[in-house]
Amino acid sequence: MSKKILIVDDEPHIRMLLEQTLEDFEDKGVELIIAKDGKEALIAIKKEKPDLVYLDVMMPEVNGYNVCNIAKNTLLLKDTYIVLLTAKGQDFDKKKGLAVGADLYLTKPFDPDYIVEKTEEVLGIKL
Amino acid sequence: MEFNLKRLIRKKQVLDIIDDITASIETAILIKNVAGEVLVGKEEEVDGEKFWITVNDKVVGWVVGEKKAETLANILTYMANAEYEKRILINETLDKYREITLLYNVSEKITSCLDRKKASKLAINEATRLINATNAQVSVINKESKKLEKIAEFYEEQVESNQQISSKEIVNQVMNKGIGQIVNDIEGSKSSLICAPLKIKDKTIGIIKLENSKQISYSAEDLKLLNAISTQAAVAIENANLYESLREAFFETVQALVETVEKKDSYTAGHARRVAIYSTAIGEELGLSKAELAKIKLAALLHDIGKIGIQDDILLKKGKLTNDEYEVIKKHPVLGAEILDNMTQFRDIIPYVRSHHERYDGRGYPDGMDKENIPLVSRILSVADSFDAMTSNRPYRPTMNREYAFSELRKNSSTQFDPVVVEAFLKRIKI
Repeated sequence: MSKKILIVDDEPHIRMLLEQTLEDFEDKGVELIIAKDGKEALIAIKKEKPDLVYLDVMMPEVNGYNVCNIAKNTLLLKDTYIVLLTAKGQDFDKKKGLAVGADLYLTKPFDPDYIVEKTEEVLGIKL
Repeated sequence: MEFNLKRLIRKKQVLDIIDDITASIETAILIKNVAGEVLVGKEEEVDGEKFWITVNDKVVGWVVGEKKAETLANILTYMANAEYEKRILINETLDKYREITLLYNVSEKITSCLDRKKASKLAINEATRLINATNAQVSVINKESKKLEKIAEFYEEQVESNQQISSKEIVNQVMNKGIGQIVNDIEGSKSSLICAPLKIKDKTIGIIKLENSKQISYSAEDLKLLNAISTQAAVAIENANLYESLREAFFETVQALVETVEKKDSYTAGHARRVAIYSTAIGEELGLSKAELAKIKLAALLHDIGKIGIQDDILLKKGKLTNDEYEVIKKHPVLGAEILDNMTQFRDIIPYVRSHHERYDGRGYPDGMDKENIPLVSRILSVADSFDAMTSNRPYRPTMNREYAFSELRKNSSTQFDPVVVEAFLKRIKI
């Protein structure tokens, strides 16, 4: 079965940036799934059970913490690696991130090279 | 940037549009990329003309089919060009993201450093990691000599001497103008140089210089990067300088305080310094950490500071003190603690100074503490202080010899002194 990455952000430019950063994985057969908000993210998570999620924290209505919490603690998707993305300087509650079960958190502007490295590691795919 | 048609056509929305169009033109089509790979359709089912899909007038693939298929090729060309422009913008943004991350990491490393040599070394490491160089150097103006002084360097290959002369001129220009320079054709040699000023506000305090023994072309981008690193390095070096002068000011203050006490009582000249030497020796013998040894030294230098508050006729009295007079003398550890309470940097050592006249058996002053209730540093000070008092000149008695002082320490071990401390002292001093 092909590996799946879910990208969740309400800002279109961040979605595009992540998509382009990860497109080399598509060539290796990885499926990129895009969600524009928390609700879409939850639907995609339930249906697709992605291996890796890049998840924005600050989103209207269902935010990143909620999505992460539901994925990890309600849907019990322990094998889904969740990366929380937060803007630099934005108040990020590390404790809260840990409490909802996030595996990693990164600040935006993110380092594209690091995202590629981390993705290689999590998916076990070398570019 | 190469345009990859496969990536565009892989997108679900694009595939849907292609399906809609082929359905409406009612003809089979084939889409191939420049490599000849079939992206849509079946080669054996379609034959016809080739309609190019172009990006910036460069063919990236084609649609094969009847004349009607040209519409699809036109639409795909339009979509491909829009996608191409979007990708350029995204790539530029991603490059900016990389740059921001890099500068953030560099500045975090460099500016947290309070040692100018280390900060300079870090700046060189980061610069040479990002910019191709065979040697690098950070030099800073020496405040006294007013000349540039090398504080960190790196080299794979030594530069030739004639090159050093011309590189000197460039460095001087950078210093004078405060603007970075690139020289890709150093006269008489085949090497390149890039140099940026270390600036604090409008003042140039030094330079960072990178050279390559081969002639490579340093770019404006390289200089921009080096400028960013040099800005961080300059701040770090300035911080380190300020920190250093603060430290100096602190030790000068301590020295002034020590001398104030010693000027009052000429017999005690050098006493604090000697107690500091003995105490730190004991501390080392007991395996204490560097930070603890620094505290011991400070406490030793200032242990008698309270004597400033003792009236001269008692402090300097020759001959035996009356009981009342002795009670006044006994106030000096508490007075010392009170004086030190005025400076934050002294807070840690206040208990040590206060308790340096406590005795191991609990019969000392001011609090009558005993054994391990007395801070270790105070127990150390007590031995060092007594030894120096016995072996130096005092108004009320002649100097004793060292052997006698040693035997006194031994005799009073476990009563006046902590036996472990006495043991450590004897072991260290007698050898």
